[in-house]
Amino acid sequence: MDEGTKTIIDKLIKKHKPGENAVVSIFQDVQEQQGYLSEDAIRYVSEKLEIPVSRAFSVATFYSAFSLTPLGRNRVHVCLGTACHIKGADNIAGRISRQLKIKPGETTGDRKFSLHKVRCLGCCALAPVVKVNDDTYAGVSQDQVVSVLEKYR
Amino acid sequence: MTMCNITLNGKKTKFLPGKTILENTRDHGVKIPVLCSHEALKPYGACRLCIVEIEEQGRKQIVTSCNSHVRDGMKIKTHSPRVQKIRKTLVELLLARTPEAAVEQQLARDIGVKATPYPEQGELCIMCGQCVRTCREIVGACALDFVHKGSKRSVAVPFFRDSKECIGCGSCVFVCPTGVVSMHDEISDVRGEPERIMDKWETRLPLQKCSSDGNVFATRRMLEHFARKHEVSEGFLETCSHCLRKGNTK
Amino acid sequence: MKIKKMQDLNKLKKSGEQQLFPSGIKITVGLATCGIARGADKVHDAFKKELQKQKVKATVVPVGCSGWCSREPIVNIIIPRMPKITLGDVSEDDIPGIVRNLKNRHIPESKILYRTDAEENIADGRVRKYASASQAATSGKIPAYGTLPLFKKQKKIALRNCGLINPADIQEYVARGGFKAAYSAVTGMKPEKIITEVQRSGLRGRGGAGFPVGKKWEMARQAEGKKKYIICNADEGDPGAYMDRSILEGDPFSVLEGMIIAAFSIGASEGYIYVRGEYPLAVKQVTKAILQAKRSGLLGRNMFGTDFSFNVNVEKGAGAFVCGEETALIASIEGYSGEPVPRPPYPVEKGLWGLPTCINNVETLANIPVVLSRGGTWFSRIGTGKSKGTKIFSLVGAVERVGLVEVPMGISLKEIVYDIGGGIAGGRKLKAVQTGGPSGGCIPKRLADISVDYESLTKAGSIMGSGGMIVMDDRTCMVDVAKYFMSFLKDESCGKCLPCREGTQAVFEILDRITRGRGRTKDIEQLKDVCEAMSQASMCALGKTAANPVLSTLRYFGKEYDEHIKKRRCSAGVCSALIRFSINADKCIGCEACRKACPCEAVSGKPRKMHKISVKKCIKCRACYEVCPVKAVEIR
Repeated sequence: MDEGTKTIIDKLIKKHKPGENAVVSIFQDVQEQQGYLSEDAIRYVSEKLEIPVSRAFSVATFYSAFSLTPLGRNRVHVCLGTACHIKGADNIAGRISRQLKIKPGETTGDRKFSLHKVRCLGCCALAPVVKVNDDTYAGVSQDQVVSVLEKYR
Repeated sequence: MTMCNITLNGKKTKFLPGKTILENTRDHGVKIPVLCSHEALKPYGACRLCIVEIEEQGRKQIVTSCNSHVRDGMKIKTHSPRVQKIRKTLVELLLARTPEAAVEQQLARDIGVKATPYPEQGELCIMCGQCVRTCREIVGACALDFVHKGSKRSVAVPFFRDSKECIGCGSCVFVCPTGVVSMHDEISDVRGEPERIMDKWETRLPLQKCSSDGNVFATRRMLEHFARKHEVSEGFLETCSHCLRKGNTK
Repeated sequence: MKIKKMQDLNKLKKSGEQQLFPSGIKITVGLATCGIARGADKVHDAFKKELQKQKVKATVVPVGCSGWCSREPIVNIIIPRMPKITLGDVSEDDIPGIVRNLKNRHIPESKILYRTDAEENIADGRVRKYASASQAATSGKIPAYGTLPLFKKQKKIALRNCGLINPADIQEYVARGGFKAAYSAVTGMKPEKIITEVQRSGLRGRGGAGFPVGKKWEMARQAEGKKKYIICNADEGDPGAYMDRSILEGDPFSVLEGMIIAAFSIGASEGYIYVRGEYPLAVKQVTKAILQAKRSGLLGRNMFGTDFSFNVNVEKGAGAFVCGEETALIASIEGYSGEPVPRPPYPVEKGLWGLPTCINNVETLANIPVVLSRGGTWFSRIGTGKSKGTKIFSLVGAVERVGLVEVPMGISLKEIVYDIGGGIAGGRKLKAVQTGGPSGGCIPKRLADISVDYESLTKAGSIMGSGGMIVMDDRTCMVDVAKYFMSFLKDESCGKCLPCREGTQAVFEILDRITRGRGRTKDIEQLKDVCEAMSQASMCALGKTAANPVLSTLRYFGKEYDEHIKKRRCSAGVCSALIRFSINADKCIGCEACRKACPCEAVSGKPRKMHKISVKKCIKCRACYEVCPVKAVEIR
């Protein structure tokens, strides 16, 4: 494993106070800083927290915030909450999917975009909602979504 | 110990209070179908087949017998129509998941389910979790765990291959009710040494030859695991128990 | 300064009041997630810039969400001795003009939503006036807050401070009567007395199941353990519900105060707030609030000079709906996958790290300070026989005025949808209202008179749930809605127990088949069988309630299922395998909008000539349907 990852994880472990319960919080930070949880990172965290690798791997696969493969630079989240669903969120997701030529959960070959379905962003009054990185787009139409994506190219 | 007065399927009887409903009914010769429970393991309550109907102070409730304790005055019905109906649906659902599993087919025959009406998935594992729990609770290797969630949940070693924690003891193979967890020993193509292959875990482990009779007797990792956990006699790592007992060490 | 005595708290209150009602002009901008998504952060920054540029003296303060989500960004302008004016749909471009007029104490009318002459502080019942009666009278053209249909039937207890105070400033919370209840409780009340008061209030858990809060506290108080915990469940997972996010973003101190009172009552020394990871702003605000509270001695050792010590940590969820279930939530905090374990033992007896743990929802905790300051009897007068107080609903979907509303229990569904929500948007017809998220059900139009309380909703096959209220019009297919929830549940089930894991999967597949026109008559019977097995035999509440969306739609919209199965038709025009798009020749104006919108070249036609849709090429994405300006695209 590269020293960079090791240093990052060491810092995070210090921040979260080492304890087996810190695994979720540390993974969240690693995910945020590195864009995914590498095998090395999972093994190293489990070693440092003295928990079985099997448990760390179980946690890494259980929660949808974690990805085992590197995500794109821009993360497109299509909200699939109930309000968004009845306002056509599936069609929005479909349009993005066709535009980027990837399925939800996948990343484009050039690593520019990854597409995710999210279970509700809690902005139901603005349905349908799409979030790209930290920017939330309210009441988007299929046409708008295409131009939104262009902004991040 | 004061026994609990119980009405089991309409008959008055006495149950041991420290034991679960399932253990007690078993002692009384009443058979309740169950897939995830094992005497050596802690109750898990995942297959839900062992549900029974209990009645206390007029309140009826469906509970899993494997993890419910008995209380004085409890009325227990192990095969009420309601229980039977739900159990049948559960078996049908499981049969849809694992249509080929022999244990499941037997269970289906036992309760009179001929075929499942639900879409078949062709899985082999029934998700009873006995392998995971044995590895964790009994062996202490913690090599296995559940991965993913919901309908994608499965049992695996980390990263699905080359486990560094699996000791190749074969306990998971032994407890697996479906036979989907398997292992075999062979001579490695690469090094020409004997190896144990845990098929489902895609993990190969070198086997130890007995220093005395030259027979292969266990994986090295398993011997080291036990040597770490327990006090072992001299020669434990190199000699099979058979030869050790006879005092044949080199 | 550490708050030790009542005087200290009063001092903080004074300075907070000066901020809430300053001697100069004050502008507040709603900066909760919804507001920011609509550009409120830009509005906030533009005000700061423009005030400086035009040399107008005024303070700009971020506040939380005031509930009228459809009119975000929302801005309040407080000019001394004038009614408070609330503006809606404010954009960056409006700011120079607004600021220019401010010099003359004037507010341009075009964006005004309403005025507030006086405000009641529900925490102490006192009314604070912005303007005198004569001043209020002069602004007669502008509707007053209380007269607007959106607010008329609302009663804000849990949302009392949202949109009014700066959530990042403890003084403003104290100025609204905050921490007074906690002070009185910790310094002068016996835990048993507090619990009795909460029991008297009749307050029930707002997270979904409606368990009596006082009862839970009593059980936690009586449980034995060397340490006890209080957890605030802010894992608001129900799609369509966002009141907990709004409270945490707009009034995090109310939740902290509720936790302090709960902790003192049950004897807990440590607390956790388990917030959804999808709510980064809520995490930020609540973390800030904890820091401030610690600095003021409102958390930490020897609070208010007593021997009571209490600390709170924030845990961020990592994306698992099931973690809203108490035992799964605990597993998650302990660093495991969020798998529920069988109950009993209940968390109040054996919870976090095997110790007694009381878990309360955000909205529940936000109610607590008011229950104590106004008294249990006062609280119990609001609501119905068994459902006391108010409930916050996120009124969303096909309704005219979407937003977050807090209403007394017992109000009718009709009043919420029509009076508060202004009816169905776009002149369409109400079909159903979905409450309770994936654990709830769809209440049909003909039951719109139903009283909104725990018992009535359960009787109707739904549940109160956490408060999502999704209004559905005639373009919503109920089979599709059931399938939507089942698709959610099969992914979000932890997968541990058989009925939930296999049941949600099987039900999803059957529903999927039906929506594709491949349903069979006996499918209905099978759906019912699996639903029964799930609800009777599942380990946790997720599985036990997973059948509700299916059972309630079967119960009220059985005809729609029949239509899909027997006629292979979806009259709502949703199920793509059962519908066809075509262009009505009489309506088409040949504007080409549909042709341009179509992503797969299925629409052909020349400018000003009638367009056609190729059934072969059409992928039924509805893009043409959405853009047609004359509604010439039809679904059959």
